[in-house]
Amino acid sequence: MWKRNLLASLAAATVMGSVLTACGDGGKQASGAADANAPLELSIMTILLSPNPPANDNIIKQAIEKATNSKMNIQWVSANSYTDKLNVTLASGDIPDLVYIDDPFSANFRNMVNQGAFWDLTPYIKDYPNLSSKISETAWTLSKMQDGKNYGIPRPRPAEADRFFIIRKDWLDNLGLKPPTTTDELYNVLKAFKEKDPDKNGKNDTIPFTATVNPTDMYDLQAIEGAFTGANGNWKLVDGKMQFTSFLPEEKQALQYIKKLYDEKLIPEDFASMKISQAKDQFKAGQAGMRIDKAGTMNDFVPAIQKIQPSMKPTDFYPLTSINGYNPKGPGFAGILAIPKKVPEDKMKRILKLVDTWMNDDVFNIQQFGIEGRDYTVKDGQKVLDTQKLAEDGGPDFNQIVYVADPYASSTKNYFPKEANDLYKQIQDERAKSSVADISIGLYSPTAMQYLPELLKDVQDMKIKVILGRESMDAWDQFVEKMKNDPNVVKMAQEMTDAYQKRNAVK
Amino acid sequence: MKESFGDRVFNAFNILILALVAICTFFPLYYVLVVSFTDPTEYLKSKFIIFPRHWSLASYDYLFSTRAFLNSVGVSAFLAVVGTACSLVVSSSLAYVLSRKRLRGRRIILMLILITILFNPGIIPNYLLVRNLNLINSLWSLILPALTSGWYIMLMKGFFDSIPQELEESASIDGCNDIAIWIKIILPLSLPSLAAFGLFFAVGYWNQFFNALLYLTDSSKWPIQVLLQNMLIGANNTELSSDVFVQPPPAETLKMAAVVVATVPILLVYPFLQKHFAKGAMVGSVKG
Amino acid sequence: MNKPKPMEMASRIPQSSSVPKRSRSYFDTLWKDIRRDKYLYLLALPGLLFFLIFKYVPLYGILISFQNYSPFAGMMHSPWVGFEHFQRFFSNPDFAMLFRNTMAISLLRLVLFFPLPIILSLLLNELNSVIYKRVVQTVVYMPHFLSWVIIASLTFLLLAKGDGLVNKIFESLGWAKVDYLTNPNLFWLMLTIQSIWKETGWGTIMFLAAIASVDPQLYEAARMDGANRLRLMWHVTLPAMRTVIVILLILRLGEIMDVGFEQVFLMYNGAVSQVAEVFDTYVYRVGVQQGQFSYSTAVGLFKSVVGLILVVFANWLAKKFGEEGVY
Repeated sequence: MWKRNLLASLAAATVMGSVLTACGDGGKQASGAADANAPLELSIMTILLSPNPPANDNIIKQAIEKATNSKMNIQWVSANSYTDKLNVTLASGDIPDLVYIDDPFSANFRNMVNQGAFWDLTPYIKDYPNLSSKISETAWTLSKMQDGKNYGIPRPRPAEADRFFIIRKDWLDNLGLKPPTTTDELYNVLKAFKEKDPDKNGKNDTIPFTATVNPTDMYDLQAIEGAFTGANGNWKLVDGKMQFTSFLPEEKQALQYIKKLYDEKLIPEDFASMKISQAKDQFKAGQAGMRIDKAGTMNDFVPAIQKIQPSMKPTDFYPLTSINGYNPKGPGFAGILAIPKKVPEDKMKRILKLVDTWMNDDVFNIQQFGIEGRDYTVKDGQKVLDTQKLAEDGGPDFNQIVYVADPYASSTKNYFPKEANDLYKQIQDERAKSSVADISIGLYSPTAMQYLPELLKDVQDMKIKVILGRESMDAWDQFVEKMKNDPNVVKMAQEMTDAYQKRNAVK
Repeated sequence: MKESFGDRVFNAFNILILALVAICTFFPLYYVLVVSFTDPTEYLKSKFIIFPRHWSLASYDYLFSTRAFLNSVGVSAFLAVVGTACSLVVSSSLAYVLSRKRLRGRRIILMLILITILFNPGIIPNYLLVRNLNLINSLWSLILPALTSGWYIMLMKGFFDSIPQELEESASIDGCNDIAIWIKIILPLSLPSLAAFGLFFAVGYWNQFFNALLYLTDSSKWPIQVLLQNMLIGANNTELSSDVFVQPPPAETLKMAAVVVATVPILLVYPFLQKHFAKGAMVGSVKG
Repeated sequence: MNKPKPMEMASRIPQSSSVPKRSRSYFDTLWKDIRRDKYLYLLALPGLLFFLIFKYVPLYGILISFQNYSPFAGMMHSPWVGFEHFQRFFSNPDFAMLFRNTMAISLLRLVLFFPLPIILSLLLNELNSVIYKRVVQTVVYMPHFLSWVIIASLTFLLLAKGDGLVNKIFESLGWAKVDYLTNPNLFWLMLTIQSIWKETGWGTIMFLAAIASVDPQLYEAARMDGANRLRLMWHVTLPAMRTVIVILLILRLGEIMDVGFEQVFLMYNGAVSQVAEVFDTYVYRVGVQQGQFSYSTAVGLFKSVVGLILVVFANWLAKKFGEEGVY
């Protein structure tokens, strides 16, 4: 009886709800055709990585607007909640004219592309010089959707010198050791770090390799997995077919190696429950001999360590070149900038022109160096940067919209001392000779969209248990056997292989 | 009143237990406070700090250095004050009405409210509603959808239930209508529960985070929790923000300072409300 | 024969003794009562409007559990898939484990945590010194303000095997170190203790307010009858809190499938996966990250239905014991 009342109320609410949403949707008018010479008015949404969101009348923003003849309304969204914000924005239909998509391979974005939400930019790119030349071929190729088209401008990032082993060179020198190049040498170095008091403080209290893991991947320890499997990421091409790296026999070797490191306390006892910031703090405190990072983060660590161990030099923050001939490189881009279809074609072209102009050196330098006299001064023909002031003025924040990748940006920074920059550049060049990319980026497998996350979680859980000794290596073997033959896994591998071959055919 | 021996034992026992509870609760908080004032380098060397040898306001400096800071404190204060007032009015009026047994349809309304506690459609329908009401980017988007909830109504009603049903009889004879009765008689009698719920609402508004993220597009309107979280992200993820130049203090001391800054203002509210929780605050109910 | 309107059936009908029960006079009484209470309805209007607009209007969103919802297409244009998501959910081999973990954590919380704020507020109430009482009260409710991120950090600081305080003490005493954080047997207990620490103090606020509403004359009368401390607590204080306790209990049962995503997620690690994975973390990994809104909404719907069943049952039980209940 009262149930009928309930149903009645729910029905009423449903009707009301659909009426209200119907009212809201589709009411958006496209902005009228503007006079071709008037400043381009557009709305932008992107992530914010710095503590202070730049104000709307920010001086650098105004300078960029002047240089690109535009008027921008920028919505800065805190990075950790970008996905949720993006989803509700896309759902509401109020999509900004230029929107940063942090993961263009998410099921969400793929679906929307299929439904025609965004412009296919492929035919237009060639008309814009910077878009073609200053964004690498790799970035354009890898960010294509499964139909082979580009639905956004990839935001370039340096590809080489991705996160890898960084070692305390001063400790190596203290012990008379050379930087390791194989996993065996690495083991010996770590053992020496543990037992031979490399920081010469009279105590054996060092953590040789501080590493953490994530719930669905091995994070820092992926470097070791890669050293054994020779692959970067979840998939490896073996005899023309894609195989899931965790099921390779080399993975077992990697696990045995890591287990040895754990048992002998060469990685932290609590690595399985530590958070990233804790590992960082361990290294900053001068307690650790090795971590995984990019050379470009040197300044995050060395000044702090120097307060405790003053003898450390910047070049003691030393990146290894490769282990077992392996070192990883990145995809060359991070996210894409997409333009929703509801933006009329001529405005879309003007937006492309805007980004293109923005990538010109003189415009891009506005956010790299700021305003002369305020953020930087010129001494002897060289620009001297006040990094603090530039950060306050929000210069780096605009990199989340348009960025021109300096190929050495992962390794060098213009505020590092020259010896450090020279060393890191040299090592990066060495690494580039043998670096391995993640070939699975951008490949589309419908089965993977559905089942890969669960698989990754189960695999990760099993790996941890094996390393901690809760499960035996035999249990790992059984697990791998079972999963390899799981129909979903087989299907995934097939689809990934097909996608890979399809992409390679279209060159 | 003479205290028996049993009473004295009980009192001593009670004091002891409560002291233990207070100490267990206090030490971690003490740790948070102390770490926030510790010099970052000393913290890195040893995480267990009983008393910092090197004090430092570095973490606080970093937090206050943002120009946006005072702004967001203002925003949060506005939300807390205005929001709590609105919430108390809306909640106590409905809860009181629902506690009057003579009301026709009372049970149905209660059931319908119960449904809203149990069933939640997720962020997108709520976002669409806020958008269709043109509240996006307005601070009211953080107040109106959060005015009250089934939980609060049910609990408040529980308090109003203890106010006798016949109370209004005597008042209405004097010519007061129900609304006047509510204002002049019921509310003054309910100060303990109003104080408690006022605190809950205030804390809720002050702690708002996710709704602010979704509904506000202008970052100059960010309330304090959003701003603090944003600062911690930058400090924690130097990999992501490798273009950012400013060196933040170590993540842990910064986190603690952020906690202190975020919670001290609201902590200060409670002692003012405590007097309403004194025994017999509701002295002399209007009986005849 | 006219079917009686549902509304009449649900509310308690005052018996009009002499007038025969025909629909007509039913309506008359109903209308009379509504007119009599018109100011009450007016008073309730803002609250009712709030629930209608902000709670009921969006409720249609539950229906996306029967679709393959895409935010861009909206509900109007997303395909309907019936019970597909529910089938996928129930046939997942981990379903039983998720259910067990969720229930275990919830029940532990209900049994161990629920009585504590009650006991604590009773104890606080018994204090003679107002100052001591205020101090303890303030200290004890502060952990509520710490985010789970901080609490997870503090837990790690205390219990980590390598650097944790407790283990360092053990080491100096010559005892063996204990692995708290990766031990599946301790996981549920640890979560419960965390919740207890965080929320007990905050939970006393409600009960203290209830205690404060008690007429002191009741205490006097009971003391005159020779009741001692404990008797007073049992016969005067506790009954005053009873309504609040029952409502709180019923509502908590309604939320039994909600375990607190953030807390579990932060304490999760691979070694404890079989006891730590709950519905919310599962949905996060599989649902939200994939953008599969429909799937996560379907799981949410399942949780709500279970909660509803429990609430209806608990409410019926409460009514049987003569309590107010929730509706």
